[in-house]
Amino acid sequence: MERTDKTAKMLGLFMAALLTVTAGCSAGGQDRPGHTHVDRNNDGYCDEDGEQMPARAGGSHFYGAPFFFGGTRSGVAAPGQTAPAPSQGATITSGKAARGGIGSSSVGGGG
Amino acid sequence: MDYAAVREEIYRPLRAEGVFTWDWLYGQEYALAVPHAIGARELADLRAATAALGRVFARTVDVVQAGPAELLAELGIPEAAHDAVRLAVLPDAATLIGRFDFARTPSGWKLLEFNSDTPGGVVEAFHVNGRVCAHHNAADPNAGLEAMLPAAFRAAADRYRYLGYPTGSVAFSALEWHAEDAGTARYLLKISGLDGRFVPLKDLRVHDDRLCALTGGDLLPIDLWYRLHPFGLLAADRDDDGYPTGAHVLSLIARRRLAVINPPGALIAQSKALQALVWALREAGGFFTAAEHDAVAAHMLPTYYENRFAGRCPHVAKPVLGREGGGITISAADGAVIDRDREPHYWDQPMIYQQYQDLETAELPTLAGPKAGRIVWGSFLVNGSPSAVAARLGGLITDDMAYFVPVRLA
Repeated sequence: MERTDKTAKMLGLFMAALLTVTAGCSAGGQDRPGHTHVDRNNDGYCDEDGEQMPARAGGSHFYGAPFFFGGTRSGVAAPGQTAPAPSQGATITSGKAARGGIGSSSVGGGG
Repeated sequence: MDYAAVREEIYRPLRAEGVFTWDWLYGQEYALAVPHAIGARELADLRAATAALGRVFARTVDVVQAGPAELLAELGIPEAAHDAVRLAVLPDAATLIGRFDFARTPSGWKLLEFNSDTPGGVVEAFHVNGRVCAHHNAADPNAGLEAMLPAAFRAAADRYRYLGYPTGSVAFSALEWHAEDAGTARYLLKISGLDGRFVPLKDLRVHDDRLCALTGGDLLPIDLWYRLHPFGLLAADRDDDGYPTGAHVLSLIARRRLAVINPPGALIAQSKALQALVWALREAGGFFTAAEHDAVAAHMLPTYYENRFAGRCPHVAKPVLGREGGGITISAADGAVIDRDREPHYWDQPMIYQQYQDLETAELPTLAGPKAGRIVWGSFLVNGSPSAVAARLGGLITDDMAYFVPVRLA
């Protein structure tokens, strides 16, 4: 059944992500379909509806920024904080040279 | 009065005003001058479908943003954009300004794709359509909706400030030589109400770990950037010496050193593989509310990441991040090719497979005489709310040579 694997794999990855999200949600989230609790300022309460956020599983943040997934994320920092260079940082430098080339593909942007 | 005279009466003043200057594109007529009709009930249904699918996409993107890199890779998101697209900016919308493309069918509106990253047709729908309708003394289905645009830009800027971003230095960017893209960016800058400047893509620089505008030899840091430049292209942009400038910009976004409109999560919604994911969620049950399940069933087409239609029914193969009909193949049930894009772009991308949906046929007046073709309806979603509509007339595949078709209320 190789031909059905990609859709099933994508669905499986999504459901795994959903489990981590709902595991971190208080019951209020279930009462309000369409709402996902967000705690970007890390004060322990949802920024949108004030619901108390649950204890974070496994010490990882599932909401807000810093926003790490399974400890593999890097490079995302809360406002005012500094962050390490992202994974592609091996080729990105903080040199003083002004770098151009944006739009170098010369392909129209509208779709 | 003949068609050519009517057309000139409509578009000459628009050209002179400098807002809509691309009624001709590539030496051909682009903007038609006689509006196509939509019934009031149909329009209400289209807007309801737009609102409902907007919620479906927003909820799905919310979870994807929390998913592993493997899921983003399956959706075709370039690796350089992975950290950026995870940033949640708007609380209830996957994008600020997006456009769903629908087919009008006997069984209702059917979604073909969601242009959530860098939708075109904005000036046509929000500005030009009303002028065409006024000329014909017809009711404009988009009347009053232009006001949604400045409200949306204000909301996005407010949201970024709430999240702790500076937003004092604003730039709107597009390819300067591209009449449609540059014109759209300039129009949005003017109507946004934001105090910003147009900066051509070629005048953008990354300097001192900031995105900057090169103006008169100076480098002015940018806080808030509207770009009519897809993230998929940005990820591959490089300086002359090969330096990955686009990837650096994406890292600035990921590290919250640059606020961007549309927000980065819009790229997830743009992926056509997300349609396959939504359809799989519908088949699996759960996750969506009953109303959302109903909306998906009513307005989306069966879509998979592998060809489950071969031998069963006509189908369409689409590249996950293709645009303007690029890389699309329409096949019969037996696999015989019915139509195929002839441009060279996007063929290297992963393909999704969607059940083929017949498009509405129409014969509309053009400068070359009556032109028969297929109609695709664009329905804008602005900060989560349904907004202006417009149409395109093209072939079986709606490509960038398709006509802009103004619309009127029947």
